[in-house]
Amino acid sequence: MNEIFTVAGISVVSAGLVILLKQYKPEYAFGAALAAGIVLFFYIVHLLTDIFDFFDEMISSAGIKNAEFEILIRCMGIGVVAKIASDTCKDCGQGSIASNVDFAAKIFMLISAMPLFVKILGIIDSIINL
Amino acid sequence: MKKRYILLILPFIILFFCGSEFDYEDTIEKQIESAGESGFSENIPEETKETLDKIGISGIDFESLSALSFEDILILVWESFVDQIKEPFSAIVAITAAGIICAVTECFYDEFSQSKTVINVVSSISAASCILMPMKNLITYSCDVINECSDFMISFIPVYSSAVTAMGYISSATGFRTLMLGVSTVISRLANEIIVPLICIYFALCIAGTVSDLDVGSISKTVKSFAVWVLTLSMTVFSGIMGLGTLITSSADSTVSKTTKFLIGSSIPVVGGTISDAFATVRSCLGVTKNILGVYAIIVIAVIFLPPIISLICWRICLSISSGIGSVLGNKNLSGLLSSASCVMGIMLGLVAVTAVMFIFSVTIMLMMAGG
Repeated sequence: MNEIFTVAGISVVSAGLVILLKQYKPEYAFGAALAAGIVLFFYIVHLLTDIFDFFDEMISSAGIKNAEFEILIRCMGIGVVAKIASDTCKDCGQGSIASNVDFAAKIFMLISAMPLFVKILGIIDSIINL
Repeated sequence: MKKRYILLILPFIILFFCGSEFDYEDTIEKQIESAGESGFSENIPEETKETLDKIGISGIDFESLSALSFEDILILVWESFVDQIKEPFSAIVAITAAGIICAVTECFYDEFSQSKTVINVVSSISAASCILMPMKNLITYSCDVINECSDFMISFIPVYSSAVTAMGYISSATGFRTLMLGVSTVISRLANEIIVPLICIYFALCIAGTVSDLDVGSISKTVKSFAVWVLTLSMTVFSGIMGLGTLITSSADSTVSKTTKFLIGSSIPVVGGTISDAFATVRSCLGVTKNILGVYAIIVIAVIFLPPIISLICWRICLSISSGIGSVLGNKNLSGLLSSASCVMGIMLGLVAVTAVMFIFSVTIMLMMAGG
């Protein structure tokens, strides 16, 4: 639980730093906000590995093939990265770029999930032809 | 005087020799063999033969059938249940994992984010991929079992009706043979060509409804209700025809049988009563043969249908639980898909159970009506 204090500390300090930089050196403010975002992201992703390990254990104990879940976790990763990027763009006042990031995330998610859709379509086809 | 003595002693001599020669069990065995049991034994699926061996029924004989205990049946059902529950239970874990991953991912998005919808669909599809293949295999297996049982019935009906005919129930046997041969063929075709395709269409529509925003609810409900309607109608028509037909033919046969016995007893001088009793004994033996054949057939039908029925029940329970888990995790797509899958298993269970009941019911009616 101590991790949340670390995250809160980094966030508050970086927010104060960005505000200060905006007053005196506005050209560095964006860089500082991005750096704080990246640090927080990697810190949180590090924490997420525990959750993924739990899912892995759960799936392997059920004796299920991992392929489908790898796709799902990849989609989750794409979503998380896109969300952070999109929020950063919105903070910078770049709404249209943020929308493009969201759109790209959806496209990448669908591309990643394509093998799953193909598999499902194959099964539906075989069910109908029973 | 001598002639009178001889005539008086003759029936006792005949009875003495008949009694010494008459071996009850041997006669029944011969009757079963001559009825052509080997013909329908060949049509029993290998898996069913193994299960029958396990519960101590290695052949059609009175001893092994009467030795069958309730405990044996319970053990068989339990073993089958333990064997069948593994796969649906793994599916619950997979579905729960997919649901949790989806719920965790959704935390990153606000309420109206479109990426949330994509994640929702992908997680539903991942969960569906875990259950669709086993479900498809189970539907195919259930159809195969119906066909196998239908084949068994087609080979068993002539043997059984010949035993019933030999007992003197000619009308019942003819009616039974005609009706059951028709029913066995019709059930197999009805299942393979109407109900299962309808179930598959319903299921495919439900999966399509999960992936897209299309509202396929009303179409899938229509398809489902049509499948249920066909099942109910066929069951009602069959039970009606079988029950009424057997009642009429049975009473006609009973009259013929009693008349024959009376004629033998009254028309043949001196030994008429004895021959009439011998006729009754032979008929009783045939009755035992017919009952053994009937009970054996009922056990075979039950054992053929037991694995798919248990498997379908396990899947239905696990899918209902998974649907509940989907609802708890707030994944409507997943929950909807699982509840449709549970419904598909329910209809399939209905089809298999109705077929099993139809076959068992028809053999039981013949057991009860043709001499009891």
